[in-house]
Amino acid sequence: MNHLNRYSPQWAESLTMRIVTARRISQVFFFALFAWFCIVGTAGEKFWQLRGWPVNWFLQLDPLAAIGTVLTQHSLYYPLLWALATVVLTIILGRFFCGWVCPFGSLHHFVGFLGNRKRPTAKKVELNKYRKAQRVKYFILVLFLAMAAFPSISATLQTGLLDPIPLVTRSFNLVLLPLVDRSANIASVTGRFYEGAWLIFAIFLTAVLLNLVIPRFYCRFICPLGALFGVIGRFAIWRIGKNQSECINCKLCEKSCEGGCEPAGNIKISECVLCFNCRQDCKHELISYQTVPSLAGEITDPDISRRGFALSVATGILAVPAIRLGNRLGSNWYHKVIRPPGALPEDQFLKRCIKCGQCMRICPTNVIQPGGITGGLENLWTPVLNNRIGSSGCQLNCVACGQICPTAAIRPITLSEKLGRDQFADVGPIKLGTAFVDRNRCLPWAMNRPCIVCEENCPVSPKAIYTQEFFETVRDGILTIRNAGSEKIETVESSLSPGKFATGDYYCLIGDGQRLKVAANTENSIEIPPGENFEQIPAPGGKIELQVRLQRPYVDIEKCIGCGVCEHECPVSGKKAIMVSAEGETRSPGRALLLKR
Amino acid sequence: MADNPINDAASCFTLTGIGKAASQAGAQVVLPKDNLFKHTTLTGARLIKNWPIFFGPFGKADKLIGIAPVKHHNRSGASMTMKNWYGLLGGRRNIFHQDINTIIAELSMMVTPTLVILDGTEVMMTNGPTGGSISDLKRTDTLIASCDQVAADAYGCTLLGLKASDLPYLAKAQNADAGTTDYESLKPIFAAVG
Repeated sequence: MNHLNRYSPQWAESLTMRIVTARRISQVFFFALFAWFCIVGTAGEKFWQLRGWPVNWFLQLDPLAAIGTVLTQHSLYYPLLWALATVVLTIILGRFFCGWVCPFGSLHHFVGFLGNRKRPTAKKVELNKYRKAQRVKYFILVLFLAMAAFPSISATLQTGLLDPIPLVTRSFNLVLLPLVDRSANIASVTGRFYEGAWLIFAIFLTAVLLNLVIPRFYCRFICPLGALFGVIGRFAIWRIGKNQSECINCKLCEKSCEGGCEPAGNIKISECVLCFNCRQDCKHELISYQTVPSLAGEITDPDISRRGFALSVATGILAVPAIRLGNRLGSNWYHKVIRPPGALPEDQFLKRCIKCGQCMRICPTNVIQPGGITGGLENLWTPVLNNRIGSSGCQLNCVACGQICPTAAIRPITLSEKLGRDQFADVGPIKLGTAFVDRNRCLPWAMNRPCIVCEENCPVSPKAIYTQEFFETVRDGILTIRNAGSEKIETVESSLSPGKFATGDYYCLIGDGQRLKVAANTENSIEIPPGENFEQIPAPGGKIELQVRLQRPYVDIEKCIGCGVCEHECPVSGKKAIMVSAEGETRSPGRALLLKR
Repeated sequence: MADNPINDAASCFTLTGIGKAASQAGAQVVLPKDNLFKHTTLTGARLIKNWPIFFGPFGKADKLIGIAPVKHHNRSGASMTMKNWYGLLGGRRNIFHQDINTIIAELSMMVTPTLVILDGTEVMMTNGPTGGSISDLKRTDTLIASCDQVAADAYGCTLLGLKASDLPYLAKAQNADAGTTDYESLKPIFAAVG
């Protein structure tokens, strides 16, 4: 090909044009595909809804998710086999994923281009030079992998914090889409809310704006996935390089270099994202995509010293027990960390969850929320049920979160397993936690007001919430009879609020015998419903008690599955009068409330 | 076809088959999107004041048909055509459970349906209105169609073994001229079908 370059420069030029154009088309295509998969992540049957769209595909292509889970759990969830294709292609082609596929990378590429396009060439060359700090991403990668790799010490998977695919997935799904959809209501019927989404947004925005300082800032300095590709890509069969050792050193090839890999000199292969801009910008056609090393020399290994590597590993190994000094996996476990149905036991869950937010996106009721750090640093952006947000609690007949989870941190359970039917009848339903009535806040318990919304909404059969009937005498409700007819009692006191006791919930207890419903009242009289009769007309001077009929809720903890519908519906809207906490959840036998029978 | 149910609306229409039946009949299912609610005050009401009402789908309708099953409802006794209009309420509507009879009566004042159909083919005798099990159902093979929702419910509650006087909201609705509990006075036609 080199000799063709020399002998037919126009043909060669058109070819280089084509490869950069092809790269741009690829970037636009995969970015659009990614955005499309975010939009269609809505449960439904229309073509723009979930149906069978492979919305996890980008996460499955991500070898960091695959390698991370293999390190922590020594097993690979089969859909992550896609990552093998990425790895194989990287070994053949180099970091094609960064320059051609990664939607986050393409966004940085585009913003960096927009922000810096008017700068003078010399400034562009300066911006795109290699910097020592580009090694930081390798430290981050090694740190995360070290945190994941030593289960005997206590492993945790935290790659998702900075892994660009989960990062951009949660940023799009949990921030951008709800913002855009706020008024359109296309992606969801009601507006979606995500607790702590501001932090996801702030990180996303910062990463994007940093392109104005240095193009592809995130890719060059932070991205642990890029670092992984850098490590794998050092073995690449094809690589960018010079086809002559000498050149005039005009540095134009570094003007638009996306990776900051210095193609003019000793090209740093592990930094090259295969943007092919150098190949296009070299007016002398000295740069090729070739199987031989650059004739000007190349550096294949990432710039990470033995000492830096060792320090990163050591930090990673120490970090996990340090994070866990709060004992959030032990006796100090946080009762508000209520995981979705099918979630693995907490220590295993933390070895699999990549914080991508897909479960939060797919949840039809919006009850699955990104966790905060109150539940421990590892809890950040992991799925937690917050029954105060969304249209209802966890729906009885729904297992969407486990079906979508790309790493099986939430297992893909069936409805039979969730509800404890068929072959799971012996095990019983999956409990997410247990509902507790706060008798100091519950309307019928604390304030003598009828309510029982919780009981009505309990979806379990037979209901886990049941009621018992009480009649409570209202404040200043003991009254003296002045006069009584067949349907009406007049009282000595004239303190009643007219009509207040005519709601159908109030009764009048005569002496300590008959109790009759109040149909109407004035300030000093009470009427009973037409058709009802006193056993005997009450005598003047006698006492009556004005009572409210209450149904007070109780939770049968053997039946409660912790779905949170009661908590969601409880009309005590501040601190709810019935709240689910994670005690009794199926996945943690150690947190059981009841003795086994 | 519209409702604002307790559980996720889209799932409800799918799981019950109502959505499919509606589209087969050429009807459109309208989900309770936020922008379809309008703050409304009902004249003479104590509870429905400046309250978000699911008004959007009905703005241009010239006929309104209410369809409801007969269900046990622990708080009010029974949920039938009048209680079914709860699906028009938005916001923190659960707070009205403190005064369930008044809110049901106000719903019947707010809505004057062209027709109500009360489905008593199988009624929920206990553990209502949500959850429960198949064993809570009883076959009563009755379908009630009426232009008077109060009368429909007054008859419907007999399927649950109740009398109209057991449900205070019926008397309240009658007092507000929303209909009559004396369904016999409307000379109902009883027809055996099938």
